[in-house]
Amino acid sequence: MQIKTVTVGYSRTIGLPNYGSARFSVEYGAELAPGEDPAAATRALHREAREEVKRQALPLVRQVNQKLDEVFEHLPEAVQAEILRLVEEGKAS
Amino acid sequence: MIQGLTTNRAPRPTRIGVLRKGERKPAQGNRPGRDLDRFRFDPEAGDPALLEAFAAAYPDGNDIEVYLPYQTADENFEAWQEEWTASQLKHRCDGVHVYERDQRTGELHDTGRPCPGGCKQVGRLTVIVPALISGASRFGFVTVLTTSIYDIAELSQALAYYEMLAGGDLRGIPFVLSRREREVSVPMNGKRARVTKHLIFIEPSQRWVSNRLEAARRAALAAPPEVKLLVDSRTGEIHDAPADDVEEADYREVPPVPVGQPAVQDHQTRPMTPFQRQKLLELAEEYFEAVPDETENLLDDLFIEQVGRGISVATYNEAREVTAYLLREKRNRRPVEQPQPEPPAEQPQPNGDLSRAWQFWSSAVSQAKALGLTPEALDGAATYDEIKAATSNLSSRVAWFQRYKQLAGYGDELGVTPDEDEGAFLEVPLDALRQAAEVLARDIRAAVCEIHAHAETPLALPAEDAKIEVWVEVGRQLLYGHEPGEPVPF
Repeated sequence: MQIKTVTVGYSRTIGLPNYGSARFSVEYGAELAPGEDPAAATRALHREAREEVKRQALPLVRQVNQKLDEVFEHLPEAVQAEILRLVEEGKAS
Repeated sequence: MIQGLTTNRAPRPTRIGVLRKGERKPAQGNRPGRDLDRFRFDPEAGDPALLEAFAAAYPDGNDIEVYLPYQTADENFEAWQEEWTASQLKHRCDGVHVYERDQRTGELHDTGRPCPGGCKQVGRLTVIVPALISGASRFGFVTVLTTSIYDIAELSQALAYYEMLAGGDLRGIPFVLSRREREVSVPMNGKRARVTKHLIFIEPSQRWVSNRLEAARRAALAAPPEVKLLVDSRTGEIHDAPADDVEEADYREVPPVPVGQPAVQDHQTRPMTPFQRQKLLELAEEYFEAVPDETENLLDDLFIEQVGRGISVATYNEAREVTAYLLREKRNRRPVEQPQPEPPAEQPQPNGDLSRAWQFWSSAVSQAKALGLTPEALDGAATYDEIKAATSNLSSRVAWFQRYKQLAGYGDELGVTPDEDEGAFLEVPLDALRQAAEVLARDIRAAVCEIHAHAETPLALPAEDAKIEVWVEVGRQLLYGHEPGEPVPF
């Protein structure tokens, strides 16, 4: 049997703070050259697909993280200090 | 600040639990758990440390100190109509159109598709409970869940108000979340009954309110303060700090409040609006049937009787309570006769005697005159058929006139002014009267649609052909939050 094409799909779901989620996915296919290793081609495609999904998701991830960072930054100082104390003690993240 | 640990990024909250209103669902059956008079904390994955921390901080499960994580009321509190299977959301809508999430952004958008029905309202308030940070070493969001239409209305109105009060940013304000007893009207065995429920309330802590009042008072007096009251632009906290210590970029001064105007009010004494006052006076005038000068005194007495204090110091919610009382009384007093397009069931038979026909005619004339309607002229020589036709016409005029008055009353509540005063219909023929009533009903429906379009609280509009009373009830709820706790009756 000769494998002539490989297809790889990759998707990632990003959880959002308001119970929602966003989904990013790509599907890549490639034709194999004679003698080319299908497994290696699949791994390469998978890597490409993962990078592409990360690239697509990055703006939203940054936006969500910024919003979450702002939550901490707008807490009263006493509460912030308590959280930082716990982080320092390794009890919270 | 810890270099390398917190300078790279701030600690980020995760979701750590839900504050519920009811007991856990029984092991058997599908009935929900019994409603409680406090909150039940349901931690993520049943985390015992969180459970213990909550129980230690709030043994009675009430009056929970919280902070809101986001800037606006809408971000902190989401309310939708949702239809769920056992584990999956079937649809989410605003009562009119279905909303779906954009797969790439997670944002909800209006699909324009009509709501397929079968959905129920649900409200989710996101809070941070500081007691869980210190007690369980967990920094995260807690969701306050409710499916009560009254909670949803109360929370959305309260948060919108506090957002305005706090200059558009709810973050950094210590709030107290509580459950308090309220009497509400619910459907029971086909009738309505008043029952006591524990609704959710959110209000800023007394300390924050006092600080705001003090800040506003100083600003209003325009006296040079010895100590500047400053609002931290990042956290919203109010600090007492010597002016010299203040870096301008870090702080903004509390905005001045115009002299002579009540400054920032205690949340519990949010004053009634001029509109509420005007509406109350109109209703009271009708209720007491008194001259305007006396009405205000009588209304004051009614406030003391109903909410325990006079009108001059009554709050927004207390005014709502008294408005609901007066509307209820007005409804109870109003005759509820429906139009009778057909003459009374007991009619003179074709072969019946003439004196009986005159009897029915005379009864219809009495009813008409009692309302001020002018009956058609009918001389003593009329035939049996003429008397029967005139009786039928007059009875229908009486019924439609009463209906018109009833609709005018509904219109009055919802701000619809009829084109003509009811006095103009005392002598008009039946068809014109019927047409006027239909036009008024159409105007009332249009007014409810208008109110609905500008309402903050989502309520489904009735079907196009629903009874006008159903439309009026929705209008009342949207406009007055009529009878706090009362569900939409359809």
